[in-house]
Amino acid sequence: MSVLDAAPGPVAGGPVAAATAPARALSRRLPPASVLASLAVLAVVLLWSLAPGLVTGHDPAVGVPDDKFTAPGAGYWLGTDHLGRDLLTRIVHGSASSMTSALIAVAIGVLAGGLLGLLGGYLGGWVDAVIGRVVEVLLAIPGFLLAVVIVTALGYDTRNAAIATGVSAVAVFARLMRSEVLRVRTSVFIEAARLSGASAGYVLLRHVLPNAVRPVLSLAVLQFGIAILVIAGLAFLGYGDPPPASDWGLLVSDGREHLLHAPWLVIAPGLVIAVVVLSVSRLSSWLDLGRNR
Amino acid sequence: MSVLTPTAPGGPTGTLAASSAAARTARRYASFALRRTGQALIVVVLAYVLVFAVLAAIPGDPISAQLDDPQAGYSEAEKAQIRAFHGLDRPVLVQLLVSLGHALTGDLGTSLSTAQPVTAMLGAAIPSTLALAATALVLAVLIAAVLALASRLLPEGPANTLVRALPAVFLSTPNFLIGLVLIQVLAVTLGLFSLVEPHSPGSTLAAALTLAIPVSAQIAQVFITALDEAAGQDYAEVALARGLRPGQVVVRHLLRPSLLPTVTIIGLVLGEVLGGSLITEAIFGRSGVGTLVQKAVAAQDVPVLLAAVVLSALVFVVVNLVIDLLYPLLDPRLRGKEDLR
Amino acid sequence: MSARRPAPGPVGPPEDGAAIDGRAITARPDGTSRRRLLQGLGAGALGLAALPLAGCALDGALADGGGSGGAGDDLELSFLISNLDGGWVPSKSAISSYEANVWQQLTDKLVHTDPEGAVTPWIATHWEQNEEATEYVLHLREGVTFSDGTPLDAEAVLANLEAWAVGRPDEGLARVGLFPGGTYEGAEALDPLTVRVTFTAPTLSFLPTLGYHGCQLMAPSSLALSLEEQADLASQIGSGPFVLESWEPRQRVRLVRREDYDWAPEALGASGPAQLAAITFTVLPDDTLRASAARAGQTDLSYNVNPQVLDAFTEAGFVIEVPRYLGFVHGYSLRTQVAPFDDVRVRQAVTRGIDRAEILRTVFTDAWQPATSWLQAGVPETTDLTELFSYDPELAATLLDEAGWTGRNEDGFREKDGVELGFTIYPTPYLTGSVPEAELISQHLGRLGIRVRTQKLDIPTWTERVTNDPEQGVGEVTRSFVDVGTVAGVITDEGEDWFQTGSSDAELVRLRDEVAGAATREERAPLVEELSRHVLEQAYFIPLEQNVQRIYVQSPELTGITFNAVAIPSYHAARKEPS
Repeated sequence: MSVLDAAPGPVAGGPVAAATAPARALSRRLPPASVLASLAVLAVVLLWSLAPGLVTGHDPAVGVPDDKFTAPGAGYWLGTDHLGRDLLTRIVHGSASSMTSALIAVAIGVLAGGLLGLLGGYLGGWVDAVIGRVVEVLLAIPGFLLAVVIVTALGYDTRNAAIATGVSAVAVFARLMRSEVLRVRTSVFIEAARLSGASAGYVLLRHVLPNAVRPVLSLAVLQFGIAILVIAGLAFLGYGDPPPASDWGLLVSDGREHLLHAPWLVIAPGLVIAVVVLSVSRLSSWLDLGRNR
Repeated sequence: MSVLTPTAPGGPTGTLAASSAAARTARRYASFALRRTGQALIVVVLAYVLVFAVLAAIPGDPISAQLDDPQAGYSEAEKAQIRAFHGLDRPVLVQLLVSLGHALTGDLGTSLSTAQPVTAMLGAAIPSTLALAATALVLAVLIAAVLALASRLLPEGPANTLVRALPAVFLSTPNFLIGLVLIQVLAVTLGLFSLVEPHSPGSTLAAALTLAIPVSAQIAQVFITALDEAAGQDYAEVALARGLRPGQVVVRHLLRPSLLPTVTIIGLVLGEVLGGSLITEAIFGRSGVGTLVQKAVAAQDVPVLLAAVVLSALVFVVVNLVIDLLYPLLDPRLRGKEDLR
Repeated sequence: MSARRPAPGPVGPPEDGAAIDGRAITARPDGTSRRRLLQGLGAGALGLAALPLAGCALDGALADGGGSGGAGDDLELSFLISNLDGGWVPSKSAISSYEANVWQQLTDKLVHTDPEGAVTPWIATHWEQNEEATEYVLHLREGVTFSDGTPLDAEAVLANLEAWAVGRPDEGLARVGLFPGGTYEGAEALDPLTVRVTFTAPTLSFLPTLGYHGCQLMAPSSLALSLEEQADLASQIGSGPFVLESWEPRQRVRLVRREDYDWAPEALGASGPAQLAAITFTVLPDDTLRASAARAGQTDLSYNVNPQVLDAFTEAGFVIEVPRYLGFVHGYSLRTQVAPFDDVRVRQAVTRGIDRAEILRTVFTDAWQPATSWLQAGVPETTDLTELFSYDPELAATLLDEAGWTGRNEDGFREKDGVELGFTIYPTPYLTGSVPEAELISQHLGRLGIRVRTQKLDIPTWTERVTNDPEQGVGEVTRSFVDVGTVAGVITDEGEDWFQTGSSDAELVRLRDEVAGAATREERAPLVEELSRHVLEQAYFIPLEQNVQRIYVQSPELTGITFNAVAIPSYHAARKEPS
């Protein structure tokens, strides 16, 4: 699956430097319009997830079989599927599950990866070496393949796909956290805290972690978008949720059989995925810019 | 793998003679190369163990599933004999050691579902994936280069903005969507290639494009940033002030320093290409390593799955090892740093 | 998605991996980003707008016939198949829905069993059996050879019988599961063209089973190979009307006509060598692509496309073959040890609560036929028992009320003593359409207040979790047989015990013994009807529709294709009219 790859890190400075001072001041007060648009998209999806009933009047699981394969129109805005179920309703009702899975994936990545990175970076020595090897191995196996292998071992459903996606993201979080820890660890105030006799755990919790939060958050937001894509890809290959669940990737996968005579079944959920991921990544890059200022 | 950025061996600044400095650099390079190669080998072996361990968690296997089906009506003795023949009755650890030992000598075992040697199955699948991946990488680099150069050469304005936004859009679009749309438009509507021959040049090109689009975005992002950064350097500003046209500046001054990070990212996106081939091959009906993986997953054919995944890791590790080893040789700044001091 | 690593700048980061960082989408902090976002979206949508047009353009696409073929008897057949992943070890793939299409053209059988269950001569020209049906004498056709020139004689038949009945399990070579190996005693050659086979008990199923796709005749030299050697299709020597020309694993098999073939069964309607010069099987895994290719005239034959697209093909002039094999209808077998199926009223309510007509209308097409019993209508012994399970939601609701499922929980499902009425269906991966079918059933039973969860599984997991798991209440049946005697082997614990009644249902036990012990088909027929009636009245089995496991979309130019008892096509007599 696609990887939103990192552009050169803070060292590079990047295009940020090109911004003029007044523009910077202005944009600090108000986020750019594209960020506002992204936030709006995510707000809509959040609404869909929390209160799907508000948005649509149809039943996501029960359709009118005689209305199967109705093209998008006034009655069904996005058309109907092979059992006459309203596609828009299914997309809306699938949001919660799609969002939750992506959240689970990110949570696993942040927690497991963060912990590994923290330990490796802070303790150093053989712990760091062992963790480093594990991370390298995880990075060497193409992430989507790794997710496929893990979901095979766990069994096919969306939760397991989410876990697999999370595990395949552990390595990137571990690396980020480690480098952040190394950066902070050598700073003066940490030295001071250590000299004043604070315990390792206390120093980690009070000083190291808070300083690493922002970059990790930015990566987490980005990974959220990636996770949506990966989980959708897994669902597309059939490693997703059971029907009549309506996870977005599953909708695409179901619709694929009918691409010939009902292309909207693939296009609509596919576009929803694309727009949401685009919004998420825009948000992530904006958060990142803030950090660099 | 970690040392994607081999820091040139930093040492005490010396006043040594140039020749002895060069010899020392060579020695350091040799030891660096040796160390990196060793690390890469260890990573591949560990990847084998890791994937084996994960797959050991699968509750069943295709042989037992076939045998346990009451329809078949096999006796317990028959089942036990057949399982023993495939070594499925041994403890997992023994299976791992035996399988790893064989793998190190090049024997990847036999498929549990077709009884063919795994090496033969991989061998039959590799050319298809190789053609796909290579074409995709070339396309990705081309697209990225076009986007990156356009981002520098187009004047500030809507067109430039669009070019700079495209990578994000490419990255956010699920690649199955891209593939399905390409098939519908190119094969079905326009009839540009035959669906029955998924390995024809036309079909391969379309599949490669599917794979290349998200990958090109990653390369383009790095390329664009590198170009922007180079443009911010004094020498570029000077060149512009000297009255060179933007195109000349890009070619003469910006391209070279931007190539190194771009080459590095190409090595890294290889993982994407290999992982993405799974979905792309499925959509286009190609019978490459990706489909092999998918079929092995569906049949719980562990030897095949294991071999295919480790092969991907091996390719990724080797390519990045080569890039790492070339890096200090390619970058004059890295190579010369210590001598200049 | 693994690699989200930083591209090291020209000067490496100071620490190993220190520059890991989350900047995927480098944005320039200028004021134009909104426009950029919108423009990007616009560009993405543009490509997609072309799709509905693509669908329309397709309708005119059936232009000039198949992708292969020349003039006269040089015509070739191109066959698109979903997969050939089962490999070429006969004991593994001879009965596979996919590889069997190839095997049937490469090999012969001792007898031919037609879709009505009639057994007619093939390599065995005639046969005798004793009164107890424990001893059979087969007389072989003279002059039959395998494609390597070795004779198909009594010795060769003995080697095959040994492989079917016993196999070599210590070498990983299983026997043929459906062959009556349990009662098989042995076989001997009476002369070079005569074989006597003996059983320890009456085995009426022996003759029809010889026409079953598992029992294909292979050259003794092929049978003697090891498991790994057998995986090479080129090592598999048969005596059929086609021989292998070339193959690529999982991708392609090309067969050419065997010019000296002269022993086709009369039932196929042609003698001498095959009409077609060659057949090419090409793998194209995606359902949609196979359908598209057929529509675009890029193939003569596409295997297993989605039933819901078939109407469009019929309208465009294609021939849709949906051969029905002898066997059980597609349906659910209920395990009576698992709640809530321990109550006959719940079982009856489930069977009465399913609107089979709507399933046929929505998921399938007119080519599918409603079930009339738990056995396919083509089985000679099948009688119409539809009234025992026809759709009757009122009756179903009454039955559930009587069974005490009168409470309702907050989701609207019935409950009793705080337990919700519900179960899970894992639709069979062997049948196209089983998933939407289960979803519709879930809706039908949902209206009655039964919660039906559905989950799709891959084949090994499905076998693990459904077929081999006694805790799963609903088994799903898509099973062929060539002899109705098979039913005796599934209904009690002296066999597969589909309904988990063990030997507790005396009626089942009695009927099992009588069906198994019958020495003639005439004697057996009324027993089978009695058994079917009992199974349906007790709602042990929920019939859905007559099973169509294989769907062939054929170009209208093809004729002369026949199917056998297990719905496998034979292309010996197939012709193709050049357009």
